[in-house]
This record gives sequence, C-alpha cells and structure tokens, in this order.
Amino acid sequence: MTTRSLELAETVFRLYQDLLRRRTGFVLADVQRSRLESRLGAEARSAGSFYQLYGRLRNEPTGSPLFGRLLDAAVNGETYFFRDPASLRAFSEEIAPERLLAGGQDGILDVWSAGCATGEEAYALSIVLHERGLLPGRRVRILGTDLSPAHIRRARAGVYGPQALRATSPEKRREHFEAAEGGLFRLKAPLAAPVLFESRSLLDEPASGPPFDVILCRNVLIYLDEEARTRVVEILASRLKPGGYILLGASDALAAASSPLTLVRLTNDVAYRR
Amino acid sequence: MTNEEQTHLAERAADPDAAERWRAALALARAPGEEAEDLLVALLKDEDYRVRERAVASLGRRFSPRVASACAVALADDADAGHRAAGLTLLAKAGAAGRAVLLGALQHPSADVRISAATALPGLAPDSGTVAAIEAAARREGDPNARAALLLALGRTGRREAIAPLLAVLEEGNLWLQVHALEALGSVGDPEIAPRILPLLGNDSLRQGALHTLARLRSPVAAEPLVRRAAGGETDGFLLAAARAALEALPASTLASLRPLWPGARQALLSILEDPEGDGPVRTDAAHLMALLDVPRAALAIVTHGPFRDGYAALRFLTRTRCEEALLAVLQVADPEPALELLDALRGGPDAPTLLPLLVHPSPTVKAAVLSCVPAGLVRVSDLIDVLAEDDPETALAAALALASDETGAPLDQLRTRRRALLDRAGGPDGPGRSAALTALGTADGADVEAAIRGAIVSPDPAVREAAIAAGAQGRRLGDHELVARLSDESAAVRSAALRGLALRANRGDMPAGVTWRDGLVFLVDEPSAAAAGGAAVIALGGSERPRLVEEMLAQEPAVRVAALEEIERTGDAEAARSAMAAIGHEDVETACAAVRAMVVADAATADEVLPQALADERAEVRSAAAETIARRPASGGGTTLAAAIGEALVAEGDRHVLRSLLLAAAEVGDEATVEPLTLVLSQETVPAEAEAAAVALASRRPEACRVAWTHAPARAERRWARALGAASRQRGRAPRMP
Repeated sequence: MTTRSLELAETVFRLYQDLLRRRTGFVLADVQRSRLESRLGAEARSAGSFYQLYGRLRNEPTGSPLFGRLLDAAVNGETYFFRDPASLRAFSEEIAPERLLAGGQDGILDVWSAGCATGEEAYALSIVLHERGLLPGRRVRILGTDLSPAHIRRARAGVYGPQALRATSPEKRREHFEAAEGGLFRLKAPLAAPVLFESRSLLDEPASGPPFDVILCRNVLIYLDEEARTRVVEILASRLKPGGYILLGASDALAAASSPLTLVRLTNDVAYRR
Repeated sequence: MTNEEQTHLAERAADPDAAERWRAALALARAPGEEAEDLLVALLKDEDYRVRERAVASLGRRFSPRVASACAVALADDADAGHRAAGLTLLAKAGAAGRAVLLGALQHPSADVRISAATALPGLAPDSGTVAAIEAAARREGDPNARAALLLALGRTGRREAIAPLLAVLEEGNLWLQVHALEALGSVGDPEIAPRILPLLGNDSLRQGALHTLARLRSPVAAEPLVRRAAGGETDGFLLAAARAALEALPASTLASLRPLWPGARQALLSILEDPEGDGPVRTDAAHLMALLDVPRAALAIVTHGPFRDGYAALRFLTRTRCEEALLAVLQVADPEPALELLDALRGGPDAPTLLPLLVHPSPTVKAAVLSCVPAGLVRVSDLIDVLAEDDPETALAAALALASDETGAPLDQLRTRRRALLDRAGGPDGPGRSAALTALGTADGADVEAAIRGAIVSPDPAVREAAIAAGAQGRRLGDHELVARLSDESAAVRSAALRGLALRANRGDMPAGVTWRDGLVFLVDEPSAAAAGGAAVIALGGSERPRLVEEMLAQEPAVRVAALEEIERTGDAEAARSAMAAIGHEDVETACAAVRAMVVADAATADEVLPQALADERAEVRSAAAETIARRPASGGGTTLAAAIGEALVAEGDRHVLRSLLLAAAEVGDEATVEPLTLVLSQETVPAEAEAAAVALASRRPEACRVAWTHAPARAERRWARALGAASRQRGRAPRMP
C-alpha cells in the first residue's frame, strides 16, 4: 500500500478546463490549477494520474458521481444569507405579491434559484416570504439548483456557520435559526419545508420543463463562456410563466442585453421579463 | 499545386462569404508558389478582420521580399486602417527583414505612417543596432506623437543601450516626452535605474508615472523610500502598488528591517481593507502589504475582509511565524476558500505538517485537501477512521488512501490497525466509504483483502462493484475468468473496470487466459465509458496485430479512437505508435492530441518526422501536446531535430499555455539552438516560472552558449540568464564528483 503526491501539469489542467467548458459552459480560471490539484488529488491517485483521471471523466456522463467530484472541485460556492438586500426586497415586496395575485387563491408561487451554491439564497427567499406573512398560508415552491453535488448536499442539510450569516442580524438569527452542533445554525423546519434542491447544470435544463413565476440567477453567468451564457439566458427565458420575472446579478446584465428579455425597472431593483 | 487547385483556391479567396475566404487563407498557408503568396497578400486588405488575421498568420511562415514590399505598401495605406494594421503585424513578426522595412518607414513624410511604424518596432530580437537606429530617428523626429511612439519602441527593445537616451529625455523638461520616457524605462525593466526615478516622486506631474515605472522595475532599492512615504501618509493606489512590488523583490532579512519604518501600517492598511466599496486593486495591494510588512493580526484581517482580486492569495506572503495565526484565522470562517489558499501555499513545503489542525474545518472540501497535503503518518488513525465513517463522497477516498499509505513510518501494530479499519469498511455497508476502502486496498495483499473484494463484487451498488473489480484486477486476487464474467455486468462502469483490468494485465505482460482482442470488439458500441475501455482493451490485447488494429480503431467513434490511441503508450509499442502517425492531422482535436501523445514511445526517426509538424499545427492543443510529448520522451529518443523544432516554436508561439509546454520541453531537450529563442522569452516583462527553469537546465547542459547569450541579452534577459548561470553553477558544485 503506498501513496504518491501527483502533479496536475499545465497541459492536463487545460484539458480539464476544456472538458468543463464543453459540458457545463463553466470557465475554470487558471489560478484554480493548484486548487484542483489538492481537491482531486485522491481521485487522481486512484486513477493513476491526473491525465488518466481526465481520460475517465471524459467518458462519464455529467450526472455521474465521478464527474460530480470534478464539479465539486471546480466550483466556488462562497456566498451568504441576504447578500443582495435590494434584490430580496424587490422579490418580497413587489414581485411575489404581484405573482400570487396573478395566480389566484389556489395558485402556486414557483421560484427557482438557479446556481444556488450552498442554498443561502433559496432559503433567504423563504425567510423573506415568511416575514411578509406569505408563508405558510400560501403555496410556495422554491427550487435551488447547482452544478456541484457537494453544494446541494450542504444546502439540503440547511446548517450554516457564522460566515454565511455575516449579513444576518442577531434578531433574524434568533427568529429563523436554531443552534446546531459546533456553533453552527440550522434553519427552522417550516422555513426549509418549501425549498427543494437538485444538482444539475443549467445547460442540461430542458427548455420545456416546468415554468416559474420568478427565476433568480445571480452571479452565475459571469462564470460561463459566451456561448453558454447565451444558451442559459434562452433557457431561463423559456422557463418563465407568462408575466414572470428573472432577477440577474449586476455583472450579468450584459448577457441579458442581447437576449429576448426586456428590462423592467422596479422600485428596489431591476428585473427582466419575456 | 495544379492549375485547377490554384483556380479553385483563387475562387474561394474571392468568395462573398467571409468564412469561406478564411478557410481559403488557411489552405493557402500550405500552398506553394508565388500565386498563393499573391492571393494571401490580397487578403491582407480583406474587409473582415478575421480573414486579415488568418492571412497574416499564413504569410508569417513565408516572409519573402515580395511580401515585405506588400507590407510596405500596406503600411502607407492611409485609406484602410485594417490593411495597415495587417501589414504592421506581419512586419513586427518577421524579424530582421520586417524590421528593415519598419525602420525605412520612419523616414516617411506622413507622421501617421511614422507613428504606425514606431508602434510595430522593434520586432523580434532587436540588437544594439536597432536601438541606435530608433534613437537616431527619435532625435530627428519633429512630431511629438511620433517621438513619443519612438521612445516607447526604444523601451520595448528591452536593451540597456536604450536607458541613456531615455534618461536624457527625462532631463529635457517636456512633460509629454518625460511621461513616455518613464513608461519606456519601465519596459526596459532594469531595477538599477530606480535611484534615477525616485527623485521624480517630488514632481506632482510625474509622480504617478514614476510610481508606475517603479512598480514595473520591482527594485529592492525603492522599498525603503516608498515605505517611508507610505508612513508619511501617501497611501494612494499608485504608491501602494509600487511599494508592494518593491517589497516582494526584497529578501526576507531586509524586509524585516523595513517593518519598523511604518509603525502605523496596520491602521492605515486596515482602513483600506474595511472599505468594501473601495477600489479592488488597491484593496488587494493593501492586503499583500499587510502580509509583507508582517502587520499584527494580518491573517485575520485578510480572511475577514477578503476575498480580494486574487482571492486570499495575500495569505501566501505571511511570514512563517504567522502560520499559527493564519490557521486560527481560517478556522474562524466556514468558507473553505481561505483555508484552501493556505493549503495551496504550504502544500509540498516543510510547513505542510502544520496544516493538520485544518482537519477540524467544517468544510469536507478542506478536510479532503488536508488529507491530500499532509504526510499520511501525521494524521491520527482514529481521525482517519472517523472521516472514513462519515461516508462523505468528498473525503472518503482521501481518508482511505491516507489509511493505506505505507509511507507513515508507523509501528507495525498501527499499520495493522489501519489495514483492519480499511478491511472493516470494505466489508461494511455500501456507500462512498466502502468504494474508497476497496480502492485503497487495491495494492494490498492477503486472503482477507481477497475476501473483502469477493464480497464486494456481488454488491447491489455499482460503485462498490466497480471499485472491487478495479482492486481485484490488480495483482491476482481475481482470476481472468472472474473479470471476463463481469463484462456482462448491468453497469457500464463495472464493465469498464473489467475491461481496464484485462488491459492492465496484458500491458504488464500477464496476458489474460482465454481472452483475445476480439473480445473487446463488442464493447465498441457500448455506452461511452465502456466503449472507450473496449477500445483500449483491443489495443492492449492486440499483440503483433496491434499496428493494424490502431488503424482500425481510428475509424471508430471519438471515445474509442482516443482511448485506443492513449493505450499505445501503456503498451510501449513503437510500431503501433508509427501506425498512429496518420491521426496527427485528424480534424478532431482530441484524436490529434492523443496521436501526438502516442509518439512518446515512437522510434527516434518517427518522432523527428512527426513532432515538428505537430509543433506547427494550427491548433494550440496539438502544439501543446507535441511539446509535452517531446519533454516526456526518453532522453535517448530526442535529438537535435526536436531541439531545433522547439527553438523555432518558441519564437513563433503566441499562446501562453503552449509557451509553457514548449519551455518544459526546452528544459528537457534544448541545446545551443534553443538558447537564442529562450533569450527572447526571457526578455519579456513577465515570464512563466518554466522559462527560468528552462534557463537553469540549459545553463547546466550548455554553459558556454548561455554565457554568450547573457553578455548580449536585453536587460531583463541578462538578469535572468545571470541567475540561471549562477543556479546551474551551484548545482554543479553540489553534484557528486567522480572519485
């Protein structure tokens, strides 16, 4: 039994970059090379080398556990609750009431947090709906999706550290979270109930899948190459219910500029509609 | 080329569709004769910039006097900026011949033409004559914009001879020219001129330009005056950038002596970090300065106020004494990024063992990285068992491999505990931990290991069966017939593992009984992972028929084709590699790259024929694969042909990734012919680490040629050659002497 430390050569790293870009549109930065080396070190040792691991990944479907390890290693999920208060205000004060009204008494508010990382945004949506009195009385479904299976596992657990709650006031912490082991915080069950998480690439989303009232896709498009960005915006647009809204990050606005989406100025933020 | 082909290409070059004209320009690169040259020259005026770029690239390899005169015409084309730019680009790439045209254009009556020519100068490998010619033109130039452009061209020569005339301009008192002279001095990059720049910091009009130049010079001499200025309250972005560059150039001992000069550094820098709306580059420089100046609690400040433009890279510049502080800081946040930065910084170094406390980080990503970075013997067995028991797909394999390590130096009873833990998990419930334990037991022997593997091959979990088959295929724990039986498993991953196992045995010379290459054929139409493994198995089991089978595999689906080509290296079959030659120009880039990589086991004649062609391929991936293959070939397999080809490619390469591969190859096979091209690379302002490593390797093998290069090189290359020669000399001094 033996272990060796393996090096991820520059040329082999480029193969990983190409593979990720082709499959997911995700652009892996050059500086991530040493990161990939330490995160995939065990898998590479098991395969024989980073090149041999690449050879296996190349023929694996994107949804396979092995490919999921590559996605886990490549994607940075740094985010926190209430990262973008203006956007959340626009969602809870303007968009959600309007969409619930449009859906009628029995209507369901369908929300999609696309590229949800470890779930903070999706849960924050649930929290703000609760604070506005729209939960639990109304039927709300919030879907969070992300490339990385590890992010989704953590999102499903609903347990967070202080860094993820750095923009959450002590009052909100007390109201919406309960203490968990190791100084962590667990989201209270009624707030977690309407939120579902799934691990998949935005590029794998079917254009004819279930439609949404609101789609949030913030700070995701900047990590994609141009072709993937265009496709993702098209997919998002195709998955909107009539009159639905898309909320993008400020840095994602350029991608929407050349899309079929129309910019809508809200009081708290800007949004896009089909 | 026949007349018919010529006519066809001419028609395509005039096609209304720009894409068709682009393809014509590409095809014309390989077409001989003056007719092809004329067509390409005409395409330099194409309305589509991509076609013009393609024409420039195609003409770059055939710069004849006719092409030179066509470029001169383009240079003077006032009506068509695109045409002029194409001519300039070509001239700048054409070495001495192109430079002669550009220098001639400095006499043109139009200032626009003179400025354009100056912008393209000095071209490749300028010598002292070039400096003199540009300097003379600058002296007689009356137009201020053209003179400024010539000053910048002087800077781009990178030669020390340019310094005196540029310093003289600083004395002239013309602000426009002074600013350009400063910029040019930054391009030359000689840190020794810093004392001449520092006095300009007192001139408000020149202060920013002078600081920018100092940042580029990275002179240790500038460190102290810049730190003193910062201590005096000058903490704007320009000063911080220059101070950071100067401090990074200082040796650690000198750095320590400067720290007391700025007692208020923590407060001043912290106030910059605390402003989240502040300018990104300035906050980044401030974070780095905090680390370099060893400010108290720098680690916590960086972690708390990051990420910066470069993430948490400032953590890498903390002094060794702050290692513990940094560990505590990164453990205070659940975000894995700061911890991963620290892991990357210390991995492989003497301080790697200090990373062990990060095993309690809440992020499985960090835990897995710690287990990959820290020597396995340092991690407590109970911790490893706990991590394995968590059954987390991110950490399970890393923990299992650490348990399996025999590099721990652990006593026998502890090794037994480790093995027992793996065996227990390998025989336990299905999950990532069981697969990981089986994988880790792959190289272990014993009846208990065999029993665990046999128990796992009937598991309902395909991942567990796959791991068991892969582990069983190593050694002889599973018979050939058992591997063959798994070829009909319902899971493609398990079928792949069985095929890979059979190939592994064949490549080890342990040909599986009752199995031939024909048994692999049925899998060529299986799911991609099994099809690829099938293609590889056909090659591995091919024996004397392998060369023919390689040709057969080239007609298969991409996954099969590539896997089959990749298997050639593992067989070590030079004849099979020769059969792969045909695929070097394959339109599928992965196939072409795999064929190039197969040349690692080709005979010298085949490699000499094929690899230089691949180095000139249009596709960066193929060029990179060729360079990498040259570097990996056995020492006896590479000769002067490959060294010369690497030298030519170094001069022509525009892709920085490929350049790195070429530099790795230059380090392995470079000879006298590689020294001059490498000097060109070393004269750039920033060079990849691989360039300096190649210089050291060449200085070890060809010290005389490198000394000659050192004495004639531009300023930056001169310093880098001096360092390389010194390092090579020290290496020789350490080398054991013959008795």
